[in-house]
Amino acid sequence: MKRLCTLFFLLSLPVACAGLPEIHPPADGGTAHHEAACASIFPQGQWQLAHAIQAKPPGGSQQTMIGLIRMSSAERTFECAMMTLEGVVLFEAHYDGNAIDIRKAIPPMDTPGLAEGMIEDILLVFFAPDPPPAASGHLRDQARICRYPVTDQGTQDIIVHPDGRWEIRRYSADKRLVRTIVPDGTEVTNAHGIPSRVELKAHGRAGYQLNLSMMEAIPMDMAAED
Amino acid sequence: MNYRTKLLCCLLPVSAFFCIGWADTWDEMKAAAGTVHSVQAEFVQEKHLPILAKPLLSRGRFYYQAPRSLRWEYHEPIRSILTMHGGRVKRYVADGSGWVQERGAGLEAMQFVVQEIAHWLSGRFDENPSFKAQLEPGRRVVLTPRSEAFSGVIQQIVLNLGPEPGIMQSVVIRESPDAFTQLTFSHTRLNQPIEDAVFRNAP
Repeated sequence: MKRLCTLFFLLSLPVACAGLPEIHPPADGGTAHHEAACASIFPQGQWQLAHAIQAKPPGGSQQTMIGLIRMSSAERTFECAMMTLEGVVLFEAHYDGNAIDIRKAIPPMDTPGLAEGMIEDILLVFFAPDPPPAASGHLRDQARICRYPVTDQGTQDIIVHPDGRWEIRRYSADKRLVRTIVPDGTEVTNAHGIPSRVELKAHGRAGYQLNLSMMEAIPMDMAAED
Repeated sequence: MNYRTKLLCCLLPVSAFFCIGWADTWDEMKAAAGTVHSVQAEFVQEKHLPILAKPLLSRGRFYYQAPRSLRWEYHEPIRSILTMHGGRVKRYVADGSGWVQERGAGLEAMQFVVQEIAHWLSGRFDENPSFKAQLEPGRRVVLTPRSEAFSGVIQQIVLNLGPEPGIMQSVVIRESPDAFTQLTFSHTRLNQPIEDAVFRNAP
């Protein structure tokens, strides 16, 4: 039994500690194109977005809610709300770029840590990382990659494939993969370049999955409309 | 008595029956609603929130069977069904693979809402101890929470009743001065038979 456990542990290591993929520098040495490609996957300007969010919590059943966000990419600020399909608002918060102001949180959306986790996921899905990439180039399969340092000593990789598909990977300080985000479905983007469907996977023991399907994307300024 | 007068005499009681309103007191309203066995109507839901530049619109249809069966169905933007039958509330949501029954988050909050809707349709506006009910001129019922804790979630509910028992023209559920949900009803059909399966075997 002990040997079996050891074997299982060893087999699971490559998945849990796969580490960060190696970045090959561009042949011409220029990284501007790569960095532009990485930044282009996020909404630019001010937007009002409404999504149907299908949540699959660990060991729980699927739940669908409506997520609303009004965001400014330049200021890295947003207001968000989560409500039932019938329009009962369960959660409302404002993020000013530094701190969260929770304006409403009623059960089951009042559990400790939920707001912080939600804000982190929103930043990951809708906002380009704040600092410039520490490294950029391409992967072995020629996909473009940008690597950003993030606040908790972790790392965020943005990978853009030659066919336009993209992927966001978030690693912890010890290089464990903690989040992956990919466009979900055949229709990768809408008319404004914002993905119509996105899948977020939180890895680990308390892992969960969120599938976001866009209901509305309204530009709130001229920059977003361009 | 000529033919026209005779016809008028015959039609008056019939027309009076169809013109029975919701009445003026809670007891009269309950009695009037006793004539309503089922209600079906279409609705448009507008969600107004400070963060929304324009309201979020949803459309659907509901079915009510006295005493306590309700099916609240959204056709767009997300297809979903909420049912209450035999005291149990269930929710189904359509995704790419078909209908999925969902449990948990938000369903507890909705249990309260569907029970309230069933109360209103049966004329029992004043039966929820959590709310103070006030009947205003123009067939307007205003419900305000009795406890401060509750008013943090819902500040006021205004029901604009239609000309007949069982008919509601609109409902406004106000969560704060600038956050509210407005439901506007149309194509209401009263006392049409509805099969049990509509509530029991959703979707």
